[in-house]
Amino acid sequence: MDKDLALIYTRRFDAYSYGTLHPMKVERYRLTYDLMQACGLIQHIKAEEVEAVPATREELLKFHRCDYLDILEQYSRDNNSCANFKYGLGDMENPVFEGLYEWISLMCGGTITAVREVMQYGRRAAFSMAGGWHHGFPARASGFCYLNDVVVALKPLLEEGKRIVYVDLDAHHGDGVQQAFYTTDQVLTISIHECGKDFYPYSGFVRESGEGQGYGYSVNVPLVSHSDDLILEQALQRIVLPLIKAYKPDLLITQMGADFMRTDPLTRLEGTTAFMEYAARCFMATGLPWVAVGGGGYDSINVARAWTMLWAAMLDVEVPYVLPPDFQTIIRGAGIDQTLLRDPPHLANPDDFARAQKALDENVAFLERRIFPLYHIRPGGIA
Amino acid sequence: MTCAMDTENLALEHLVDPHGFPLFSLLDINELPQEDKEAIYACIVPEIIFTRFGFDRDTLMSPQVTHKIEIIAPKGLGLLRLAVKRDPSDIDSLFFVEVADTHFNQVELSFCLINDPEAPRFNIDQDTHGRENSFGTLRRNIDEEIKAMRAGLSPYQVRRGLKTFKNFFRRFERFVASLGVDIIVAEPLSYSNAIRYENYGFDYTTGRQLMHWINTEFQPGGVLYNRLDGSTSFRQPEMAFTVRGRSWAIHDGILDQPWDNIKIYKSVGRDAGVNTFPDPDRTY
Repeated sequence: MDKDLALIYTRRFDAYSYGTLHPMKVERYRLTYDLMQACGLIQHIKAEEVEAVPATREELLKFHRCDYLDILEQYSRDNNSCANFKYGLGDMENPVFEGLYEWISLMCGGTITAVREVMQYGRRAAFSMAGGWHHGFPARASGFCYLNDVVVALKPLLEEGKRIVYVDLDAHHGDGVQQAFYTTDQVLTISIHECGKDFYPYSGFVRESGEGQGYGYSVNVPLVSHSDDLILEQALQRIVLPLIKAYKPDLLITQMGADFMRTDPLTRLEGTTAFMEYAARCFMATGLPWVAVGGGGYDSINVARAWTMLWAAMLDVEVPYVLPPDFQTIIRGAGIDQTLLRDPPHLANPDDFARAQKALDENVAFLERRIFPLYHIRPGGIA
Repeated sequence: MTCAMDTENLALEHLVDPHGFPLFSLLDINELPQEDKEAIYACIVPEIIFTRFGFDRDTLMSPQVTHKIEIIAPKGLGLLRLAVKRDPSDIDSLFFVEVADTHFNQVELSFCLINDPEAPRFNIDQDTHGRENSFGTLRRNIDEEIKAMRAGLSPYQVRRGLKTFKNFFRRFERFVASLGVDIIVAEPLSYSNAIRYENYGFDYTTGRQLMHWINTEFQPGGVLYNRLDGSTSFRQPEMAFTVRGRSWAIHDGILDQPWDNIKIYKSVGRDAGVNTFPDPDRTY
């Protein structure tokens, strides 16, 4: 394959809406694509754009329950308001709307396509921006997620005996993915997120380590609110990268939610675009086949900026500090006054840092004591 | 370096890595091996940390050899966080500084705290239930703030300092100059902070007019002076005449707007000569 990277996209990603009052704005996909294009990152010599195709029912059934898919299909055909709280459907969080099933199948299909591009067609890496629905459960919608694209996409690989590392950088714990693989050693899930003590989805504590055969293969690094780039960087360097190296997976798949950024309206972490770029470069440097998927992010311009930087890092291209003038014109028309592509540097205030560092050190010490020996990693992250 | 220096002679050699290649930013320094970057960043640690508190200049270890000066400066990021604690279990650092590269080849002094560990602590950074309050920006702890004010502290100070900011800043400015960077930027956390930075040669990117307005309106008969009506401990008439008094009154919300978006800069080696509180009798 002469083009090493695949960008999975279709204009249909933003064809639907959660409703004007819902924090999940699907126009973020179009904005991201437009910004990538304005930065010259679409028709790039190293990358090919691949059209996302919807996941089939057969593919979805690898993880999701038949009755749940039936309900989703049924509600999707009906424009009247429907709700079934047993399945988590129809409330403010996970609204139902006409065409929902087709749309979420398309998102899920994007991630399946990305995995296929890397694992079957030999791409070095792929980015499925409309993936990352990590709160999806077999028969329950949660946290704006109806289907769990990552789990669906990985199931066939597990049947082939492949071993996978899943890293989740979203500000929210990747509970759906963790639960799906909680009892297997074939997938190592690692989630860095804002602590669930008082934060959705109220899980992802450091002691959640997997069960049975899966013990030691679920790793959680909860961060206290106001953790900034230097805390996120340490979590990556001290926990994530040593574990990836030690596990030696066939595939690395990462959820790149952009809601860890300080300007996200729903979260309290204080990361910046610099961390997104930094993490992407670290993942590229592992040399592993890599699939990156999207995720959270509730300020559309944040998302566009962060994922453009992610894609630029995958391409090994430097992007400017300032948004391209054409793109500034587009967003100004939508009433958005943002001129910077890269965030200015930001460090949390000393009090917040002290708390964040203390909590991180405690969690790292726990993981070094309980998890690292299983991987023959010495404290300090040296395998 | 050939630029004219008003304040002192900062002319020095450009900072180079062990192979002799010049370094231009924190990002460049952070690419170096840990021991090399530690040696470079140690140069901004105030002298008192080594002389009075006994840290080793070479190893950066504490006198009891229990812990080290903490330098977080990851490869790939243009950020530095440096913290010195007398004891690892101490809540407050003796010295704490956060520095960042900016997009415009400047260096940002994001935060600097210097605490005297022997001085009494005022828990202005916690509310009355002991919950953190982001230095009083979420829920103020009025009782502790009053005690801190009466002890001669400025807003956001939990302890008296070590009177070593001058020593630190001289080192810091020299460090910035050695990178070939000619501008330091910062955001003063409070009015007293801003005045202090003026004394170190800073000028304003935004906020200079506000500072002049504050000075004018704290004169007898002015809008702010008239608001010092004794309604709270932070609004006493005599507070108009001291930097710290004004600062507490502003912290108490005496302005019509929050203390926000005050941005300052310093041209390395030059004193901007700004003084927005020019009263010859002013005191802190």
